[in-house]
Amino acid sequence: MDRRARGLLLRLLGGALDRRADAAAIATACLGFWVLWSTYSQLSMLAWQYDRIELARSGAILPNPDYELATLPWQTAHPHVFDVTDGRMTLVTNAEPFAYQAFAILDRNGARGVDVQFDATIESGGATVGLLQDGKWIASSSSHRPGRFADINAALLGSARSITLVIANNNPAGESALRFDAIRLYLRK
Amino acid sequence: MIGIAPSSRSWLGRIGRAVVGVELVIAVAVIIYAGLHDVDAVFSGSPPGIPARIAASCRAIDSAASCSVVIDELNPGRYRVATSVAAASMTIDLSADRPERWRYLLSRVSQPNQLRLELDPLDDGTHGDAVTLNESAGRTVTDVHSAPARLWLTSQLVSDGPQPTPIVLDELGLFDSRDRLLSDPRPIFSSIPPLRYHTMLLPRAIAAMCLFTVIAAPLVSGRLLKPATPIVLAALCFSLCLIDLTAWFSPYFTRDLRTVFAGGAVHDTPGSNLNGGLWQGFNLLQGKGLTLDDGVVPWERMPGYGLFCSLAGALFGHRTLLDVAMSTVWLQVLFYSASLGVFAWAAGLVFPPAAVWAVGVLIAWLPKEVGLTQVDAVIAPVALLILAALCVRSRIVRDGRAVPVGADLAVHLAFALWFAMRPDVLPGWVIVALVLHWRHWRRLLIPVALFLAIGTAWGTYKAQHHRDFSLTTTSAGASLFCGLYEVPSRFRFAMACTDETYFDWVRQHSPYIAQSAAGNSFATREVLKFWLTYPGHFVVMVYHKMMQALDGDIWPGFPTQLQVFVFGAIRRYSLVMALLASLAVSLAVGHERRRTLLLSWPLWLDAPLFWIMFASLGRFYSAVGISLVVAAVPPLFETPFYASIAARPWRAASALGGVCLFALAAWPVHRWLLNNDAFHYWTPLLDPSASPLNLFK
Repeated sequence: MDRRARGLLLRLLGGALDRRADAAAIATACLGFWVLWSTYSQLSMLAWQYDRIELARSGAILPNPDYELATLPWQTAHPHVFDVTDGRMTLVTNAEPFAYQAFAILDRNGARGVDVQFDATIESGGATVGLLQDGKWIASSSSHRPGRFADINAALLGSARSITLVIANNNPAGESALRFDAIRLYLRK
Repeated sequence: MIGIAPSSRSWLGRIGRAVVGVELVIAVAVIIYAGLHDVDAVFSGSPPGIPARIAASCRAIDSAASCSVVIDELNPGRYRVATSVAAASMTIDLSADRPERWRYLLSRVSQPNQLRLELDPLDDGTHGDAVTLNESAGRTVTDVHSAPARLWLTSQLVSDGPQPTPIVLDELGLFDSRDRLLSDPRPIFSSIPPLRYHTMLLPRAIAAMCLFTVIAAPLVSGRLLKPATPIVLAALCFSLCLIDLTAWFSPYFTRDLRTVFAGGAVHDTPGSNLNGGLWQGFNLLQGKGLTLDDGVVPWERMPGYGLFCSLAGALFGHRTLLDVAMSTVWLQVLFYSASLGVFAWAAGLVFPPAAVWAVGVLIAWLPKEVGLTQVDAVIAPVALLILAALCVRSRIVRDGRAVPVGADLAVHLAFALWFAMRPDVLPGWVIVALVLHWRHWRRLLIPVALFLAIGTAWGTYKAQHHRDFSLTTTSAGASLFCGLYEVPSRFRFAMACTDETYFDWVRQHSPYIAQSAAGNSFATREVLKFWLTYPGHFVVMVYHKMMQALDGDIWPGFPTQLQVFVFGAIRRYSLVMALLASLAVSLAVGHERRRTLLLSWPLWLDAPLFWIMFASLGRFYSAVGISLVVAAVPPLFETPFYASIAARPWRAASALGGVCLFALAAWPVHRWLLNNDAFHYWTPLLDPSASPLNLFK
């Protein structure tokens, strides 16, 4: 923008905002737009996620996950067995009830929402699969009985840069044994 | 409705204001729609079921006990069914004129944790279709292939499980459609589960919109905002009441109002907190007078709330006690909303339109008690009517006109309404009347006449059932007695305070009946003597309860995310202190001093009563919180307020500094008082052994 054009724009803006009350009106209008739009967009995104959850629960596999079981950057917290082979995970937890066993810290990459879908079998004990942001649970699914443990969950994300996918022992009596056939994580922008 | 403020000079400013106006209209429309959407879910709990004739029997676990089944019709086609004792099984027989319409069975187990339900068990011992119902599952809907004539429920007890319980189905009904049984129909966002939508997402979004409208209102033309405000605020208040009620009483993720009342207050002993007024109202409509179930007139209550429940029943239905309960909650919501509308109209006479809007939205947004059928739920709207009448009077005085009798009559009628509900208004009423009429003392005859009319009528009515005559209640002694319990101490009475505790204590230490005027006088005298015996305990009690009030008890009710959205970010104590700071600065710089003192009268003349009497976790304070908002918020929207501060900066700074100092020092002083036993149990004046309350743990 050359100097003349810039000067004209500044004069126009200066004239337009020659009173603080007008500036307040513009700021309030922007605030109102943000309140209304962010409410609508958050709810509509969440509704869309729940539509997908219904779809997934009816047996469909959602396409194009951002992460899968084999591509998640797993870290462990002393489980007895942790093995990821051929896109499947075998996990035998330690005896500490409700302790985190395996987790993956992921960059949010500007996403505003996340879905996590998993399909597991609990051979003994129980498990919780959930998402943490800023140290708080934002979504979780739990089972405390052996058998198939499959679910899909959705959450809105806050402004923190990272989220953590956690697998925790959910057996007050001690060790749990699990097998994961699939974990898919979808980041929504 | 909203136009461009005439003060805008630039085109950008005018556009900004127009956009703000449109956004404000959209926000208000969304808020009102969101609440209206929930009316059916809260008050009906389900669509109408298929009417059935229902009979039930049960088999007790203890074979020696007799077992009966209590059936309450919640609404047409939906029932609550409960056995009288711990039961092994329950049989429910159903018949209807058109049973072929029964397609879906709605049920919700309350006790035991698990039940086995068989549809049409056969007489030869073979089983019909069976499902397992879990308490944790909440409301469930089961497809029925053919219309069942009999339901057989068996308790699923495990050997190491909890004790046997009665079988209680909070809901049971047959429907021809699943619509509106498990989720509310929404035109958008319908896939979001009701629990998350109604308890978290919607209230938080609505709270944000409410705050936005408060910020936006000053930018909207007052000429357009002012006439719309009373009606719009009343509608907005109605909606916010419904949004709060839905978070607590939605049939989709918790129990709806009808189920909650049928499982609680309706079957509690008549005279309990939540059903005393209901029974009085119900019996009055049945021609049995303002009495409880057994013909007893309550000794500890004024007649107003019973009459209110009776009016509700007459307006909205009174076939059963449950109907009266639902009618009462309805009327409470309507009364609250209408009172706010009236207040908004009257406040418009003395405050700028933006201030009225801000105060109205804040009052509508505060936690409320409208879901509870007790007198405290209507004190807030009654207080709004008093404040409205005081606003009208303030405007007349400000204009320099003589105050007509009608204006004073309106003020005292509103006070009288409070007195008819609860007698704690009396000290405030007396002092406000003296302040208003010290130059025209003949006007004092109005409150005196109203007091005597209500007191004499109630006293005479009660005297037919009790031995003695009293113009108010005879429960001051009980309230003072229970007030002693509400501060941590080593006294033995520092346990739960109940009517029975009080009755036992009076019986042990006097020849009087606790409910009588003599019993009341005895208790009052002994509590006053106890205060003199332990002045340290009195100081600790008053200070502790004052701090509880300032810490947020002045806004009683059940907060939902609508309020937690703000209370979670800013502590209630900080909000109260900020409002007190505004009040203190107003008084210090002389900005509308008389108006501020008058409108905040419950803060000075009602709240302190509960620092010496029973405060019951703050449930009596609702008028106090409202008056603080009404007195403290409007000055912030008034230019002369800032001119007064500029003219008297040292006074303003001193008031502000004083409140800040108090805010910072109050809790350390509180801790010191509670931990200082030497002061707490100091007995400088009277012999402690002479007090029947002098009992240590």
